Amino acid sequence: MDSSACPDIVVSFEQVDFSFNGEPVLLDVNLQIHDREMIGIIGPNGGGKTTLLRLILGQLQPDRGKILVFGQPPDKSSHRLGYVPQHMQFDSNFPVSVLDVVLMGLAGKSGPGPFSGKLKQTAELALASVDLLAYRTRPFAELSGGQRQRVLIARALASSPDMLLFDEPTANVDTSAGEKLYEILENLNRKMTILIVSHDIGFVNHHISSVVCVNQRVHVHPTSELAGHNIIDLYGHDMSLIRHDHRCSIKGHSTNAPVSD
Amino acid sequence: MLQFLIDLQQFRFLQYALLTGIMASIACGIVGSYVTVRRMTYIAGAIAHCTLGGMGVAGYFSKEQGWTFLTPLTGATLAALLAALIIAYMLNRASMRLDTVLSAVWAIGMAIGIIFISKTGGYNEDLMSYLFGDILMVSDRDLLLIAALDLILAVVVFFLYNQLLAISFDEEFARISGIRVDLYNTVFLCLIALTVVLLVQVVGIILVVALLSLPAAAAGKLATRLPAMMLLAVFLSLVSTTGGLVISYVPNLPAGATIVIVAALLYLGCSFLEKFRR
Repeated sequence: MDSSACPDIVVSFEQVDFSFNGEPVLLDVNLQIHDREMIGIIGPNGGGKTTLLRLILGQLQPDRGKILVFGQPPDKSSHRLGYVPQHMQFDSNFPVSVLDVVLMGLAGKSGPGPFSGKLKQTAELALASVDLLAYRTRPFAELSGGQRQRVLIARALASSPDMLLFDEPTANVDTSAGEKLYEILENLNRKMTILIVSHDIGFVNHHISSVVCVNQRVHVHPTSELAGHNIIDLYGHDMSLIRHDHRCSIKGHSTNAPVSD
Repeated sequence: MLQFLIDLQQFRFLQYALLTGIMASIACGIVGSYVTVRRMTYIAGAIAHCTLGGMGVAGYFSKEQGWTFLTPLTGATLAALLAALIIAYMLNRASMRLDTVLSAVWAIGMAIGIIFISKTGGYNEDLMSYLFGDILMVSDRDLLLIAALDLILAVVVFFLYNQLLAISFDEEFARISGIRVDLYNTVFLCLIALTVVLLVQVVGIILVVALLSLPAAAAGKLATRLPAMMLLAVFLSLVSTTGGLVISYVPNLPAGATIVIVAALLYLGCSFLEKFRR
């Protein structure tokens, strides 16, 4: 098995092609994600970010090439993955409590009938790890965007995954909630690999060790390398990178932050 | 009211009507809540109208061919389940336009029913009772079948509650976390089919959607968790069916229509309460 050869690699793509309705979406993707990396996937809309995520989750099959997740085909290892979707896609009137939502993360593993007390404890632990245990009986609909996001993280954590995958975690979340989110991610990163799909280059650039740029083809950069010319390659035009620092002296950022060229 | 109570002790058909209403309310509150939060009322409508085909075919064969075991209620049950399986098959294949499939199931079922009813001898008073319901005509055999369907529904929902909730809230996540979404969707559509059959007895094909959605929608305005919504919806359905039956009895109004009007008034009342509370 490939995983025994190099146990450090949790996700690997070898010469993967994927097309949708005859249109190529991803071409010749080679990618390796290592254990306990925090990795960002960025790229323009329609560039294939979400497709890459779905291939890892086993929701889509590649046309060509080989994908291994924890040394196995993706559909065999999806139980080791925790998926956190965007929080805005939910019906705001859906009648569920916060704990109900977290328990849904265990519905695939529990048998028929009501949840056992042990599973409820597991869900409460997951909720505690995102600092929302006090909210467990509150209606999910009454929470703020940032809090809902954390509930969805707890739902993914409930099944004790080895890797977390985020789809646009900072979309429609205010700055302070974004910082709280990052604090939680940093804690989780000590125990598991984290992969984040994002438009938010600032967030990715500031917080993440390496970045996968997806626009049909895939390039991997350490974030320190993510300077203007890469952005031009990726998006086809220049973009400003804004650092999201809390403290900022009058002279500007103390360290050499990447800026647009 | 008093006349209703006096007659209730005397007439079996009235006792059966009351019991049918009570049993249908249980299914209506539970499944109606799922249907409402999943916004699947249109699917329930298609299945309801499709049952006319089953009732028409069953009526034809029992009257013309002497297959007396095939009651309209049995025919409706089979047609509803068949419609549910067809819709589930299409639902699990995203390439089909669901809207088109539902319209086809809706119309084809009705067309088959109308053809068979027209070829069945005797007066066609059946058509009216299928379309608008005839809760006062429920037989003891029907009552047994209704009780059995109710029991099946309650048992299935008790055991599969968590999985059904998970696919209702977030189908994509449910699939990723290892829930067999296609299987549970099929089971869920069969639950809708059985509920529709129960409700057709009470208010008829055309008004099923109203009774399935109004009590659940009213309950949804006040409840913040699904089990509470279900209980409240069952209670509101009970008030609608029983209240509608009582109110319609002395002035000899159509029971099904009166029940729906009561349900609508309860819905308005709950909307008002919701505003008042906030």
